[in-house]
Amino acid sequence: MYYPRKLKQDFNITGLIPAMLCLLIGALVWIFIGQREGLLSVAIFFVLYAVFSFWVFLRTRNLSYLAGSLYQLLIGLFTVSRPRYPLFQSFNLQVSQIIVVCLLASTIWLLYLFFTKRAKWKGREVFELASISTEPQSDGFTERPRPAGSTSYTKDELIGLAAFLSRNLVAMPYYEDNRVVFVPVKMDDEFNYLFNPEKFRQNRSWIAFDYQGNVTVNISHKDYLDYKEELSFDQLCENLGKLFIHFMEYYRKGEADRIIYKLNELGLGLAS
Amino acid sequence: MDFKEAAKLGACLSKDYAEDLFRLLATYESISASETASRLDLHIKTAQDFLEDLYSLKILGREEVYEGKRPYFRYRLIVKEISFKVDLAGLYQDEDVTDSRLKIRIREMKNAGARFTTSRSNDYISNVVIWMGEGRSRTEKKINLSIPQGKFLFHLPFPTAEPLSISEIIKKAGIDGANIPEIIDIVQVLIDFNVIESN
Repeated sequence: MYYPRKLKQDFNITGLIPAMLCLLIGALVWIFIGQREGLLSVAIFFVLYAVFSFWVFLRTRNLSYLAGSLYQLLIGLFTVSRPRYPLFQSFNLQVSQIIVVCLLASTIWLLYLFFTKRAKWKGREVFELASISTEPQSDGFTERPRPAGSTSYTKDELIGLAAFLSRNLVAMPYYEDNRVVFVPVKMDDEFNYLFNPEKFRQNRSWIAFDYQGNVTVNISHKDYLDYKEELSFDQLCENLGKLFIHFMEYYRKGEADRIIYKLNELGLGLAS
Repeated sequence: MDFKEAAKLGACLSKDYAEDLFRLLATYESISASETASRLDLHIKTAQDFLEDLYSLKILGREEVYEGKRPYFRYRLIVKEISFKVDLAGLYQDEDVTDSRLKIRIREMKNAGARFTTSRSNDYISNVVIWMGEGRSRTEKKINLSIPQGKFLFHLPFPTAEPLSISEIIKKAGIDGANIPEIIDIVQVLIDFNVIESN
């Protein structure tokens, strides 16, 4: 099914910066110090990235970050243990070959997760879905949150939905005394969330479910400006609230996979 | 006694020279402003204003006298005690709950330029900050809200939404009928500040 895009195109390359930085530093070390040191620096970078990815996995429980962590660790090891060209003699040929096989396997796993969009932060999909039936209308923005209705669920179900949405990188949960607040995170915006989640939520949109069943929505100015044209702000907030109420209904019926299907059905790019 | 008269009387009684001045009035058959001022070491205008205020409140009587020069007033006490009662219920328009004001359809005005701050629990608005004026003379006015007012504004339709009547919003917000006067009051204030539009 084709849905007209209402969000501006994403030309952000934040996600590529660490990789480019790593290669640049590796190349400079290779040129000015030597090949061995260059490869070693790249290997160290990959191991550090592996630690970072594992930390993200622990926070989100998203499998792609575990696969990424494993891949980065193995590629770091591969860099220093290449068969016939090991940087350290302690790597014999058999160990090097095992690393190569594991690296290939982890690459396939990672690519599978990447192409099935398991590694994608789905904030853009959330905002696109919310805007599908929203009419253009100017001068509607207001900073106020909007009550988006109510639905029934238990506290355990709400926490379960929060874990599910976090694991699938749809929206990151913030647990408060009387409610759970979901903040959708767009691709390339994830580093802002990961490094400073409290600051991140301050000027982002959110959807809150309290423990009495009330749902409240707030769309930030920053996210509203991401749309190509001014949309009816009231409808947009209402639709975003309804979307998450549907998510809750799917989750309660044990059909949480439909949430991911609906988001992926939009067909947004893998890296946007 | 209405509120303005009560305020005027209160202001008179609160003066630090009031007791001495009343003692003079109670002692003298009648007294002029200049006599009062000289006895109490006040400026004559201060004494004159005080006596005129009491005259306007019908606590003093006055008589215009001529003593070969320009006329002046002599004041005398016409009451033996002062008591006053103010009906605070008269300060708000005590109309029926089903009055026409509850049927006014309202919503937030486009580009109102107001900032709504939510409470810590995020289920009501705790204050509204309104920007007034332009350029260097721009000032902000902060209106702190009661909880019923905050709940009401939390459910106020957005600028592009269909306007709702005040009674519909009250119902949505689950506000008690006893809070209607304060709701109507804040709606009126925000209409005056162009934060809410009504039709």
